[in-house]
Amino acid sequence: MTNASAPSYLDPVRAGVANGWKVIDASTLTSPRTLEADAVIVGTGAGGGVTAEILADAGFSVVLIEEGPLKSSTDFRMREADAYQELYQESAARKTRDKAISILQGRCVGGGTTVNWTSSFRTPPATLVHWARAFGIEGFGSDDLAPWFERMEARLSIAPWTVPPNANNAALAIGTARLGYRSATIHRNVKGCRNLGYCGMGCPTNAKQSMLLTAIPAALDRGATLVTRARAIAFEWRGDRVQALLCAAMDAQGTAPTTIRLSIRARAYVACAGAIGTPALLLRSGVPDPHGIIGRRTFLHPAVVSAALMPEDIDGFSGAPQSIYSDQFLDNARSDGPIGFKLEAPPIHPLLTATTLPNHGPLHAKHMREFRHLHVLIALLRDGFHPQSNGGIVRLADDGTPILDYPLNDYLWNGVRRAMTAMAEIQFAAGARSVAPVHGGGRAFANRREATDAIESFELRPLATPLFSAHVMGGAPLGPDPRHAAVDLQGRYHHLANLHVIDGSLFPTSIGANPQLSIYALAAKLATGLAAALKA
Amino acid sequence: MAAIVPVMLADSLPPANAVHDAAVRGTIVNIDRAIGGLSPQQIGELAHLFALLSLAPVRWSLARTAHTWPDATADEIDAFLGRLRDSRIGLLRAAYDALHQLVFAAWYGDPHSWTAIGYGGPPGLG
Repeated sequence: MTNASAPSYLDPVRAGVANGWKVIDASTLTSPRTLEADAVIVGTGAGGGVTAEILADAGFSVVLIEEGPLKSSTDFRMREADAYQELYQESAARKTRDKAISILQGRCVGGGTTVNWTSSFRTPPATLVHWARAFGIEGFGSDDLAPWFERMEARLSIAPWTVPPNANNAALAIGTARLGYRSATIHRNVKGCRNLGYCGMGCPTNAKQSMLLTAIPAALDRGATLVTRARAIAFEWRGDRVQALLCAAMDAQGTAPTTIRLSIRARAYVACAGAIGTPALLLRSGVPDPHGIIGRRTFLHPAVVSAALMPEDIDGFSGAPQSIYSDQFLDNARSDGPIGFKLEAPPIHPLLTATTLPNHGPLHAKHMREFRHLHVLIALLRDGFHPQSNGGIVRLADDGTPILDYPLNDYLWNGVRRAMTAMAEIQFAAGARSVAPVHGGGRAFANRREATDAIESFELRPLATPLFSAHVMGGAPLGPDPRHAAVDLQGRYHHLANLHVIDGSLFPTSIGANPQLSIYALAAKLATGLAAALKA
Repeated sequence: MAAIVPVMLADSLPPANAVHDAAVRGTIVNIDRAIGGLSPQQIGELAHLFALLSLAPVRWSLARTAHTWPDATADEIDAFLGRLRDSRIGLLRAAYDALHQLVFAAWYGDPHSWTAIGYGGPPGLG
């Protein structure tokens, strides 16, 4: 590519590398390496980034391990075909074992924070109350966490989005208002956002205050070492202590491990590889797990999609992808009742849209020709609260890579059906000409009655009703009781003294909101405690 | 793939002429590139799937054709895709899903597809 259309934006990451940040691209190594540090952090997403900054700030030497590449604004060209392959796990085609749920998960420096849609919610109070009641998690109530939320909101410029929503989000506000339902404005972690709408492909203007632009540069400025394209294979442990972290350099393309090994010795080992990566790393390490907790209760906020055609242009590819949400069907959800769901709007770009819309041939083409009129809603099911919602289980394939087995049951399908109905009602209330719930052959319905009757009779089942997830949570839960939790309330692994987990895998249920701010706040709290413990 | 792409993208591709044929070829190149970027695990699964679809009994029972794929008619392939999509067998629905994702990502990730759907491409940053 020439640089003819290169943006006039400075790239602070490339500048940092040029100015001497310690960055090792493991795919270029030709011989094994050994590194030492006070702390080694596996993963550079919301958990790893915050942890790195806090430990480096406290004066500790830090090594960060990242399986994905270091890419930054110069590389972010707003092209789906490139971005999904370069920045996402498994080319954005990661799926649950039976392929029923597609999982969008970042795999690059900054992890999910580099590619997320910037929606920032404090952990809902109801979720924290449930954690205290059901799992005995004390000290993590809304008031306890408030200072940590405030700190991270200030650090990452998290504030309500004051620009008018794009038409895709506005229709959610209009439709809910006409039905007497609640909706509200989303807070976003942006500074000087130009309202382009391409957050999911990496922010080309450095407006998104991701880990890539905030915490990781701060840690690197203080001398931390970042190793990219290195896969953490296993913790080597003896007795009650981890002795080393063993990593494999990835190949130049970043998809397969090579035979080149890196070994990192540290005082503290921190797993921040996300809620599929961290449990998989712990399973590969064969760490003591007497109660078989690792990898169980992994949650996804399984999301169902509803596509409508509006009379006017929606152009859902343009403008902040998420700025309005509705908790109408979440606020009153009980842990012993039907599953609750959060309503949001997604960005509408050609590749993601075309792969999401069901069917093929003329029917699919007809919907795509109306691309500019497409209005899309998603409903995120709050999994993990009801006894019949236990999420999935992370297991290892023969080659040690993770597979998430997430069985779908009637409890969940009931939520899917109610969510499809609610979304269709809202879309018709907002003026939709037709609504096509993403299911089966993708039939569109001309009015609310037709749609709700049809939804009632849908035969919902895996792959006939595609589900999606952009939020992976759980699998190494926090809690005081080792019989039910992997890590204690300080984030220390219950059975090894110097192993810590600081990422979304800590959550004992799903969050019931986009999880990045929940991870940031928990990481700030736990990493601050870790820094104090390392000083002692 | 050369047989399946034009059927899956019927009415999405430019009308049948040289441009149409170039779009099919371009889509197949994009599919190959996308497969090249997958993990070894994913590539293994795809190889397994394509092997499954090439088995003669699968062709007979799902496509109801004795032709090998390159010789099957568009109607035969469309009917075959419909049976995969609506199959009672999860593995066959997964096969449909994989083909669907590969083909639609390859075409709609390509700027050549954008004019027809009214998408002007990413904005300038100037």
